Amino acid sequence: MAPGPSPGFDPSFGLVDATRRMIRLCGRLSDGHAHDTAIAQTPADTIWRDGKITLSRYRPLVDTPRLGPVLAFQGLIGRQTMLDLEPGRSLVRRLLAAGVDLYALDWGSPTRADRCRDMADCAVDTLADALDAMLYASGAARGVLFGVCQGGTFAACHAALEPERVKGLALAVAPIDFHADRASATPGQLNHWLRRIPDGLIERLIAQDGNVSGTLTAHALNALAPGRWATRYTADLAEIAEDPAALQTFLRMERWLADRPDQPGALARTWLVELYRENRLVEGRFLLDGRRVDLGAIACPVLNVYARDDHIVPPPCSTALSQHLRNVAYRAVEVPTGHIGVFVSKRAQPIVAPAMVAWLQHVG
Amino acid sequence: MAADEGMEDPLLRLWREGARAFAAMAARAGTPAGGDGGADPMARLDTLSSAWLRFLESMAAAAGDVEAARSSYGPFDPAGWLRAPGLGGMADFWRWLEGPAFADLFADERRAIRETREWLQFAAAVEQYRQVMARAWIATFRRFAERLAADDAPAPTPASDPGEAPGPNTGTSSTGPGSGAGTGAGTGTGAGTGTGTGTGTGTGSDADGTAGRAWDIAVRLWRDVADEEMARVQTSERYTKAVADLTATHLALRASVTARVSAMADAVGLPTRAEVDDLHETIHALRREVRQLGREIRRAADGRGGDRGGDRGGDRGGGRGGGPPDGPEQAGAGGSPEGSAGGSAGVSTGGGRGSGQGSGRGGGTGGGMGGRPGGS
Repeated sequence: MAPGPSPGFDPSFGLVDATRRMIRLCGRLSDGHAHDTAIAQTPADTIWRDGKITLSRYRPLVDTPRLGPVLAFQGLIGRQTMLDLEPGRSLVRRLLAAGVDLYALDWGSPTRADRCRDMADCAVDTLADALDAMLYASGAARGVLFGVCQGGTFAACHAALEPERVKGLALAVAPIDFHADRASATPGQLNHWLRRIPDGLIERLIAQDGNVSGTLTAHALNALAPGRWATRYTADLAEIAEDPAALQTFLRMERWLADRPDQPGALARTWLVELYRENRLVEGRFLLDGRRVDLGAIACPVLNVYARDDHIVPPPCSTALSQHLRNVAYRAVEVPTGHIGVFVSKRAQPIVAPAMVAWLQHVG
Repeated sequence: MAADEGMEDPLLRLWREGARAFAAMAARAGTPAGGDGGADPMARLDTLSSAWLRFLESMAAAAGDVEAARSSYGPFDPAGWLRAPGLGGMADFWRWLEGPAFADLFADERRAIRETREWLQFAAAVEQYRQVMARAWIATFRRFAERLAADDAPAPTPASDPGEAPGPNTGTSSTGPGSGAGTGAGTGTGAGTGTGTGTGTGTGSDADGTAGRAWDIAVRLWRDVADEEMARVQTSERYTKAVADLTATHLALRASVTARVSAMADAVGLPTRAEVDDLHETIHALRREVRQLGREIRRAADGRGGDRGGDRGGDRGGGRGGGPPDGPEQAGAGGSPEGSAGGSAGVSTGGGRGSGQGSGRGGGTGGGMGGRPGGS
């Protein structure tokens, strides 16, 4: 008797199954749940505004918030709304539930009219004003800065330049030493590429476009992992077609990704040239507002959350901060996810918020 | 070579050389998996390049000076289109074509020539980028096939969790063989989904659904291989050069188009991009001054403060806070949220960031938030 296929042999290589799932996915995408993808739904009130920039205070989930106040903000590469993606994946809700008096700064959506906004405007002036507003609203004398990604770099610079009213500095996936990836076996693709492009090209791009568009940023980040990007809307999407909740989460992430603001030109120039290419911050050559930023001047406890598998901000670029601090309490927390997974992945939920709350209790 | 070939017309002889090279290439390419040509697109490309090079060398030999001949034919070699001036590339050709610049003569003609050159350089840069990427993708598929044949595919993992697997910036950890158990329970879309799909839909899967997921396994393998290969390519010199050339030529082209459109707009009295940019710059400088003045006023009212130093002439110090809030929506009392510059535009823009002597002639702006930082 000739040998036949094994009982589990699938002559279609699973393609039939994949096709069926895609068909069911199409059905899912057309139903009402797929369109209910609002993010950042935790109630908050705007308490201060400067042009497009707004500061909101979250309504407490406990009777008397006793931790904070905490000013949370992203940079202008993404939007801080991913801190509150959905109820089950919300760092905001977890912090509020733990009794944190929490505020969120939104930089708005810069246009070409904002192209002169530079890093001093953001990291010095606006943060100072927002901190003022937060301290007034809370009645506290000092507050905690919680900066995410580029916002973390802003926060570190602010805490170094104006330490008086900062009682704690929390950073998440924030680059500090932009060349620290060189020592690792796998240099950061983005860092490596930005270091090697010809002099003057970034300046020319910014001069012509005014800003660095969110679309261009998205394209650059997608290019870091094109295989992942290519399967995102095919295999990944088909895989979760049977799970309405997972599909909804996926679509909420899409909503967040689509809302990527433009980087004001002056800020982008500093960010890409003076920091990514020239690494001035850790070399003691970085000036903001005419003042040299000395990370050693940070005078408050520091919490540094970084992602183990971050391919946008390689972990060494974040953890290098500890080498530049002097006589302040420093705590690092590694999260086994990628860059944004620190905030939105299920795996990070029981790690990040508890670590922050424990640290805030220590900060007071 | 036949003895009477020396009597041939040189051009005919060159053509024959080239034809022989292409014929040899075609013969090799037509042999399935044979020789160094075969059906492999990259091998075919290499063979084609070799044939072209051989053709050029035969022409150079006929000219008697290999280097000079190569240089003289550089402009017709696509690889030379992006060469810097002085290296025999298209830049030299265009420099010759454009001729010297005169103040009042042939300006439009020179501009048109320059724009044509920029179009061609951009096209060449696009082609160069495509070649780099095509090589990368071909290498990706080759490696994918090798690993698939070696049964090196990753084990089935639970469905993706946002922030860990899909997305451009969400991480790389969840696809590895070791991450399945850790994330499955949390996502709610993990192993349970895999099994259910396999058995419930009757696709011929075996008991644990693995065979039914073969397609997914292959896709994951392809994704991982693609990202590994692209990470390698993106750190290469050729990729860096291709992207830099693409960006630079695109910027040059756009600058010319912008200049032409601006000239047309100016001719009919429409505001140009440069004028609007100047206005924005002025407004930004004025807003800085207003913000700074607001702080000085609050500091004076509080009778405290201190010079923050720095070239903005700031006064951050302890002079914050103080007065009562204006309510939950704290837009500037005296102006729009954007901060309307009441003074004439162009006043003291140079002083905005510097010495603080910008004179406050942009008064009436949106400051005035009591003790709150002003919404200028």
